[in-house]
Amino acid sequence: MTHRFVAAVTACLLAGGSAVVFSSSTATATPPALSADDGIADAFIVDSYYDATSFRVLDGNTRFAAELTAGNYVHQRFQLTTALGVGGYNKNKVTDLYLYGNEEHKLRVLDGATGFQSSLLATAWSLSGEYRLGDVDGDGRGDIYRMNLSAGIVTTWTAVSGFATTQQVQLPRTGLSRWQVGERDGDWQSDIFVWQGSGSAPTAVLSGFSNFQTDLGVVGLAAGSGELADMTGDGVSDRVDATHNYSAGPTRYDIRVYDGATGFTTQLGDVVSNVDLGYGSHFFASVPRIEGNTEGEWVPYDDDENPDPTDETLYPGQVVDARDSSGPNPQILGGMSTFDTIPWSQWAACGVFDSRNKGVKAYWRKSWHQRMNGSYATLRCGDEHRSGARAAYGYRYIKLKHGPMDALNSKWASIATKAGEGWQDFAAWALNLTAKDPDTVVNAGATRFCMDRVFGLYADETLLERFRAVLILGETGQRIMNLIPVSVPASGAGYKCIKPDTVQNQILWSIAPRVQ
Amino acid sequence: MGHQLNRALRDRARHYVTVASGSEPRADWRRPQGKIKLLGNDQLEIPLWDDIGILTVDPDYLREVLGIDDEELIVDLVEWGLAYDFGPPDVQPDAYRQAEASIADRLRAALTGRFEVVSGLS
Repeated sequence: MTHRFVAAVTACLLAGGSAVVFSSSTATATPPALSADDGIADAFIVDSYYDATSFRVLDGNTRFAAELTAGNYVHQRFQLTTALGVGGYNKNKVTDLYLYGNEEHKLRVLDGATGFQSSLLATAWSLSGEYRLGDVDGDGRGDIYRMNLSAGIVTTWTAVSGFATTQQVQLPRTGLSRWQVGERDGDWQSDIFVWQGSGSAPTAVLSGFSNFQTDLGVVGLAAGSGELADMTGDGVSDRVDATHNYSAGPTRYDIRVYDGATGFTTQLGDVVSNVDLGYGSHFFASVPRIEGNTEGEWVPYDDDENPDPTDETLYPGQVVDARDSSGPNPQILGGMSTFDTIPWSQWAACGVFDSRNKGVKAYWRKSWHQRMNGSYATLRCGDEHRSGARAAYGYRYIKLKHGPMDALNSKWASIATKAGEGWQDFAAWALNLTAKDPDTVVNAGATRFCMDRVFGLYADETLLERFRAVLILGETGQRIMNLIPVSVPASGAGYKCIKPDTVQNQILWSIAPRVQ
Repeated sequence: MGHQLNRALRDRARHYVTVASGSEPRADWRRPQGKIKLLGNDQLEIPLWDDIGILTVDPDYLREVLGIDDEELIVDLVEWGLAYDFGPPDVQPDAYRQAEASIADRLRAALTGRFEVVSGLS
């Protein structure tokens, strides 16, 4: 028997769905046939039967007319499970299948590269509530979301942590009845769409980039029960309404697509009638993006700028200091952001006996380059001075060079004093914003990345200081090497990531500074 | 007399001095405040600071504001600035320190009576 599987990404999932199951058999599997890697979502259809599960994929690019692949997956009779969805787990651009074992009470991720014949992960899990797949941290991997709509609380588990790290976020909207996870602003961090089924309440699209605190604003989703998928390849989720057409048959649906780029107000083409979406589950989704690059390859690097094997592992949002947290990271609003206060840095202390590997705090950042690994950078205690081939880096280095006792009159401290803040809090605030929402990102040669952002410090309407934070990351973008504060002249020139000498510069991202 | 730390860096320094000259609007320029500090930093080609911060990224500033007419000194300074990002085997620490001391001495000589230069801060 030929075993063929198909998959897609960022599909929604619902606890208690159809009985897709996995097999522990050792039968030779045919590598899975993937959905079309054209950026346009395909329909991924799963039907479960007595001892097998059938898969079909319909090509979205042909308005679901062309069947890309179909096959059966044989499994043990009456074994398991609930299909959680499909997504990229292991960064190989092959979609994996997320399942919950109803009997074993485990979350399993079945490897698409082996035709779902092997588990990439099997971890104890408790299924409760409604789930979706999306990308919390922008790393291209399928993360899990669970929603409590009445309380407006979303819980997420990241793939990068093996679903061990949980984050709960209170949303600014409560009491709504429907939700989906999709991409509204094209920044790779999935946004949460919430609305009322009746269409009576305002719809909100809560930006993943802002930790779901900012409403990106969109209208027109309230009616219907649309799923979200990118049907145009523009990186923005469109609304896909699949409506049962019982008169045509029990598995027949009519599909309408509404353009996300217009706030779902424009229907794309005519209705596609009589599409066989099966009896079980169906998802509309695309092939996983891999960490911001399309190469599908990871370049191995092994030098002093790579994380040390003994580096303490931190995740963004994790507080390692013993003091009470003042809350999550500052909410990033995108565009021009204003802040009345600077939050506590949440930096762990670096005592004289602490290892250079000790984590101080981790910061989200996108993966801008194939050499840039993972979805965040970590500030560690580091070293004040170069030690052979290993450059100085981290908190101790920043403190030495730019902190309160430095030879350069403490730029961070001088700016912070104007703001009435402590230098650490101020530097951490600027670091967080620069890492997450930079003006410029440059691949600065083979061993460094450079990110910068311009800030303005105002007293009422008076500009007290305009400065640029220049963030230097190591070879894989994981280690925070340095954070340099510099004054910005009126022209915007001066020390920054983009150099007059462009020999070593590869500009990965650049927008005009938002503070002029 | 120039100190060559690394041939590739030397070539890049010469290139930088050529292409970065005139890169800053002169309206941005200011006279140094306090002592001029020779201090390397990541991705910093002209490693000179004053009480305000980094002085410039434009070699013309060295010529026109500081009055340095020794082109080899300017290239040496940029090469040393570029070398900051490298350790052995690309740049030997002893040679780096020797170059720092030499450049500081030559800067002091070039700026005598106008600006005070300090080094050894890093």
